Amino acid sequence: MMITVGVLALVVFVLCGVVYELFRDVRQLRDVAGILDRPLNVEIRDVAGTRPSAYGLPEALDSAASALVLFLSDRCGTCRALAAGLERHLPPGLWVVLEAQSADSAAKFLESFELTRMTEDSRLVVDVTGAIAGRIGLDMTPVSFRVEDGKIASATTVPSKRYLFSILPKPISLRPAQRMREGETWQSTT
Amino acid sequence: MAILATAVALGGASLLLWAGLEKARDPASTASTLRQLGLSATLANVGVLIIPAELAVALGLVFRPDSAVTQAGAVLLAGAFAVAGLLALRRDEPVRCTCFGSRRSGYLGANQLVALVPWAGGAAFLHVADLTPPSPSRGAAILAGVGLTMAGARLIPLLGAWREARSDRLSARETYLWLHQ
Repeated sequence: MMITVGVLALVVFVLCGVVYELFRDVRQLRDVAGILDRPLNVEIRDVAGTRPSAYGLPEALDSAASALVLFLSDRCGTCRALAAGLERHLPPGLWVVLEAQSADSAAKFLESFELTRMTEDSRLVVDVTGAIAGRIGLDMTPVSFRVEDGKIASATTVPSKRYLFSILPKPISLRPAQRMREGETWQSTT
Repeated sequence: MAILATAVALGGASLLLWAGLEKARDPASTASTLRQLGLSATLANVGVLIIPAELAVALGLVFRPDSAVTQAGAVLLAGAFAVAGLLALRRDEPVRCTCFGSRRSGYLGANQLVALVPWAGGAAFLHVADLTPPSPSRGAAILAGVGLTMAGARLIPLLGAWREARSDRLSARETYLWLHQ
């Protein structure tokens, strides 16, 4: 009996390997076909160059050097995949606006992806009536708006978690400072 | 001492089973690696016999870890891998390692040479530990445990790949909906 279990477990191991490879093949085919991570530019016309707070977005965005505002909806499948990919915390530079049909559905969405705690963070806004999206003129999700120097700069669709994480603003840090020895003076290299 | 020796035997068995089963799915890549090492096509085809040898030593480590044949088999396998590593280091071009199947990246070389030390050490430890061989039913239970653990370890990346593929499919479908709006 046990030997059968052992052999079957090893067969399952091999089959899991085969299926894993098939998933990789499918991804490769999607990549070749150009249907993997294919973001579409969203024409934002008059919205470009305006302050985010003008549309009801948090005022803190008006002073953000670089930020990404992600619009999610409780009705789209990709939004659910993205919400699941956030893994209970918002990465630096990312703000989320959740459009929901009702307060109840918003609560359910947040609860199902364990995002409820994020509502304490001002970077997650629940837009029950779709007022923010309505002011911007946005009728699709998931879409991200890039904010540069406190102004809306551009917008694209967000097809996957991979793409979302690739466009997040990256913190730029200084390299470790060189200590000056006593008596040394700073000289410009320009 | 006996517990440690059993752990060493099962660790070695798991590694060899994993490597052997992965190679068994694609023996051609093992033959290709052997050809890249400078072996003739015939010798490379014969060299593929390393796959059943790995599986046999793995089963030996589960059922008869006390046997000198099993211990010598483990050292011989590690020796063969070390020779392959040495041959690879002498080649002008890096030789891709298909140690754990063709999917893994990495090159043959110093790692295989270094691995000879723990393999030989482990075999020597099993020899000194003087383990009592498990009964056939206990051995079968151990094999089942090893197999289930390996299958479980394999499921983790598989579930991740499945979730990723599913979200890619949903995303592609929704993208096409937008395009046709």
